[in-house]
Amino acid sequence: MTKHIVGLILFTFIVGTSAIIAGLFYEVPKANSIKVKKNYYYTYKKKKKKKRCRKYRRSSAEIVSVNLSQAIFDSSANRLTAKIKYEDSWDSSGVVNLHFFVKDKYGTRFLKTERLYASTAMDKYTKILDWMGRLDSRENLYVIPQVQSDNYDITGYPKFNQFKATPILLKAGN
Amino acid sequence: MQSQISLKGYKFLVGLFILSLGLSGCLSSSEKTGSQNSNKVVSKPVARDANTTEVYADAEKKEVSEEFVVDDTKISSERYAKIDENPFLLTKRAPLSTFSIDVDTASYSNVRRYINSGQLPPKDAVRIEELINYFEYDYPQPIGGVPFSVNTEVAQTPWNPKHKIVQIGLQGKKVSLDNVPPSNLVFLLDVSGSMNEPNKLPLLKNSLRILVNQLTPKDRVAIVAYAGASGLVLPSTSVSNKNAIFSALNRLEAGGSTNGGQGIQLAYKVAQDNFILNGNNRVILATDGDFNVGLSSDEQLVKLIENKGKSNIFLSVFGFGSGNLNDSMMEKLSNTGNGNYAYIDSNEEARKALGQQVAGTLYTIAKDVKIQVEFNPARVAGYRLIGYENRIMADKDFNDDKKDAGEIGAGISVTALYEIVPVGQKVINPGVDELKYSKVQPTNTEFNDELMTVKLRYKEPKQDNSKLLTIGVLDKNKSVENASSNLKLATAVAQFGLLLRDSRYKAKSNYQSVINLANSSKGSDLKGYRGDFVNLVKKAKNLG
Repeated sequence: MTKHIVGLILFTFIVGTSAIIAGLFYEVPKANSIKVKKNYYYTYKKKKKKKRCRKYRRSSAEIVSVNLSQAIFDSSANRLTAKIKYEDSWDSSGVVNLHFFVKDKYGTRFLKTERLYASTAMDKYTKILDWMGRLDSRENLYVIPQVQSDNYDITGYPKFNQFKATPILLKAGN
Repeated sequence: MQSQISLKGYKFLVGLFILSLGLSGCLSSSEKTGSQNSNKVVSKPVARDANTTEVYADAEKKEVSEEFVVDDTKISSERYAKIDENPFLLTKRAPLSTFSIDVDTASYSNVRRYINSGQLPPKDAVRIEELINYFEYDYPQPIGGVPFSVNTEVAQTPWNPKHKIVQIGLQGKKVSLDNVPPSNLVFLLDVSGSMNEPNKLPLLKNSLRILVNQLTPKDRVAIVAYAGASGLVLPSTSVSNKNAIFSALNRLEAGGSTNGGQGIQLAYKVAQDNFILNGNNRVILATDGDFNVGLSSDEQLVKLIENKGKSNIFLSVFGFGSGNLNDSMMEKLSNTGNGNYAYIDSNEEARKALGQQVAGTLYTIAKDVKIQVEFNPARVAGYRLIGYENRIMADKDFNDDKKDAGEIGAGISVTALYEIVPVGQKVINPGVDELKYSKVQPTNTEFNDELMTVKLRYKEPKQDNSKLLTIGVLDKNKSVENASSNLKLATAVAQFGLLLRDSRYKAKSNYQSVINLANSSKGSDLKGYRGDFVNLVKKAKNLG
């Protein structure tokens, strides 16, 4: 019986110590969920670990967000330039979708989604968008930025949302 | 007994196990939380701008005191152009609104002079757009190869919660003085008898010293002075020879009548003779505006500048003094001369206009800047442009590149405000009766969240063809409290202007509301202008 007890103590000690070490260096990644922080901010929070010590739970520090403050499309060069701020508490890069919309004589229409790899070091995005140059009407263009999360729905069309849309300044003339 | 021991041991071990697991979780969290905290960026206060270093040629620098006493008896002879405030217009009848930008700031410093001297300014001295544009706004720098960024925001109108206010803000690109083209400046200085007061010629000399100290050796300065006759005081001289420029300034003395027309002609001739290709060629007129000999009417002088202004020589006007200030004429001249008009009432103001903002005063980054707004009748029943009364253009002139408009300088911001009456609200004072035969129904319900489309035209400084910028404006149902500090400040200043003008459109405006709005928009206020504004409003409140 004593052997069993000693054995169990040793087992518990080893498991406990391993758990402490694992807890120090390893954290199990969890699935993401989408949460809107504010206008044209898309955020997703990593699920909180179920821990016994509530005071150590993460909150806003885990937020990943993208903010598009200015966008201009130069129609003479079909070039889009946008001021983008991507924030990730883990300082890593991520996929951001830019959903483009137009409001013209046909109403409000979704045009296309452009995907870009954003990092925290990025502050400006420039790309030649020939498809935008071929549009019959470009008044008025809007863009909605969105961080692509694991449960991003690629099947449906994005919907226009006036609270999240940034107007694109259209430049014409050489 | 043995089973009791084993049971106790089991409980103990299970407890130990759970404790160790719990401890590992806690340690893990605390470790990572700690590291995150250590990575947090703590905002630091930004240091206040260093004062401009000034070099003086001699001991004349203390000649001008910071405050001047205004002679109340003289103020009545100051001349201001009458302002008829823009009325509310019905979108159904006039969906387009077109105007030229205005970068002048003279009205604010002039209004400040009045209030500091213990009286409210005359109504027509209050040009609301100049009050608004006196302040710097926190608009972002432009991207994508345009000379200025275009920023729009919509919120509730502070003085009429049933209405909305739309802010259109342009922010000129900032340039380093090391990277600007060389300047060929001609100082055209009024040394007539009317300038013989402490807040005129001595302040003028100090102001120009401040300006010269901002220039670089590649720049050139000439001085033309006029009184009864005009004369070349200093031929075009490199700024590397500052002593020669300062000595010429020091020699100036006031006396005689004022033949401004002759002075303007000579100054433009000197500027043309020393013209720098791809440079900044500019006449800087410093005067109280009291032209009384030769060409003296506003129309004659405007015509003269109009003819001279076609030669790519810009005109900046700086007003000085009180009593016989001809504000009306100076504003017209700067508008016609593709330049800007500022009023210098103190050394502090000289440091702002000719020191801190010298790049914006001297270097044009876009010319003939026009704004045209198309309102959506499905959302906007009526609208009113606040200020810019003497900058309204015909709608067809927007696409006409021959039609002159305002210039924007490097780093300068320009703000315009529209007060919007949403559909469903009654448009007060539309100016005309309701039509009975042509009731137009709002269309394009697809655009219901779009209030308006803003179009801008501008030319590069050396080009004659304009470029077009277009942007839509969405209503995001913002309250004033949730608006940006830019909008809060602009609406606070506009409201102040409405009160000073005793405007028929002031609605629920009051000084306390202005103070509250301005206080909530102060931000870091590094240069102290917003704080000074609050103090000015408090003084006006006591006078009102």
